Amino acid sequence: MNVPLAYDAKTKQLSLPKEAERVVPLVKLEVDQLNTLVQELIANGSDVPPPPTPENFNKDMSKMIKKLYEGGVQAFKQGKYEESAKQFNIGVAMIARRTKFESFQGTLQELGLFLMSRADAYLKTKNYLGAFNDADMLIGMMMVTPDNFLRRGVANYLLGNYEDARADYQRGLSFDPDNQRLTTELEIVLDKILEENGDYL
Amino acid sequence: MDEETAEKIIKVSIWTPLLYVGVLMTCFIVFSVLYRRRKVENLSKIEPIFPENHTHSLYLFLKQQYTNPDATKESKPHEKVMKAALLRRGVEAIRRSLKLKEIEPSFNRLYQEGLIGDEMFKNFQFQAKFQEMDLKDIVQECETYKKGWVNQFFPVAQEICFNEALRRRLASMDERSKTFSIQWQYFVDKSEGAPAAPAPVEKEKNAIENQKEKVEEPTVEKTEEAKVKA
Repeated sequence: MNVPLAYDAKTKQLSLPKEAERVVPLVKLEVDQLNTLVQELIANGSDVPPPPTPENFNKDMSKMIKKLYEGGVQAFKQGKYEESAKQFNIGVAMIARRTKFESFQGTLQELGLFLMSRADAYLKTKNYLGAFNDADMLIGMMMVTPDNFLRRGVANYLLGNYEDARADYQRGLSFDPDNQRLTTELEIVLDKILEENGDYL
Repeated sequence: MDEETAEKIIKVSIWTPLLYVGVLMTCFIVFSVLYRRRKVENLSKIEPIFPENHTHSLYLFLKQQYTNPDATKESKPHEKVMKAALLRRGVEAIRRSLKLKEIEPSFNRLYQEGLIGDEMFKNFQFQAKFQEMDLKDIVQECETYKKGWVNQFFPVAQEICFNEALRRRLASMDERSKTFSIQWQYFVDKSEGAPAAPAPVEKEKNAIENQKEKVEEPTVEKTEEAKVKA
């Protein structure tokens, strides 16, 4: 790595020359991540980062995040879907601002709740790509519940990806074969696929 | 008879065995040097599985300044900067070790079935060995900053590794949306909010709307309840 790096003792940050930032974006990313970790370590106060236990999870931040979640749910119930999506968005951004050495499991649980609700709000505000992204991430995070497959399936249907929607509903049904909502949605999408193929009678 | 045998004894100089040992040793040393040089050359030709480890280079750069006796107060990095750099190095080492563990069964299977050659399999083994050495080096470095920190170091580095992966995934969401909109030719923003997906027939549309009403609202309530319970 032949990049001229500079260390500033005052800010305790590393920096790259402007020209180098463009040439080696990966080094820039590493330097930025290191600087963030340094800031978080200094802000934490202890000489080494604390172990990632539930006790060391930032409680103040949890309270703020919980408030945002409740606000979002309230707005959703009142039919203010745009407002609700906005609240969930801020919540997700806040979760991403937690210190990197906090418990991953705790962060994952918080994020799961927000993504589920944001996907619903996005479906209501017709942001189907956003809803698909959220539901897809939820499934990627191993939150493989029938509800999440339903979310991704509905988003896929409304995006015109009928085969993907069918696969999602069927996968959801494999977890809960008696799920009435999934069954109805599956019937609708199967009809749609027949229609698209010109086989609809 | 004794006289005859006595005559046959050849006088050997004291230098002969020494010369013999000397020649043998020289041959051995030359062979060893050449063998090692060739081995190093072969190792240097190995194409690494992973790209350049920037976290490692950054740490070495900082360490050089940290241990430099001529460094001034301004140029000497703070101890927390060193610890953070070591943590970042640990994070990358964990990420690479996890990746290697993940691909190990595939490599073994492919090698057993003869689908990859000796060279590629040796590359993989070399990378695994190298990673092991890197982890040992990190442990040693860790002990220089605080005795006993190593017990906490790797769990913390692992959390950082997972949290960073989660943030990377979150940060890539907008880019994913753009890619999908091109892939699926779904340009809602460009068509003034009109849904690009073919509108469902009236009966189905109503059915979907009804379903969505049923699906979404209780889901939010449910998650809220779940959180309250948690």
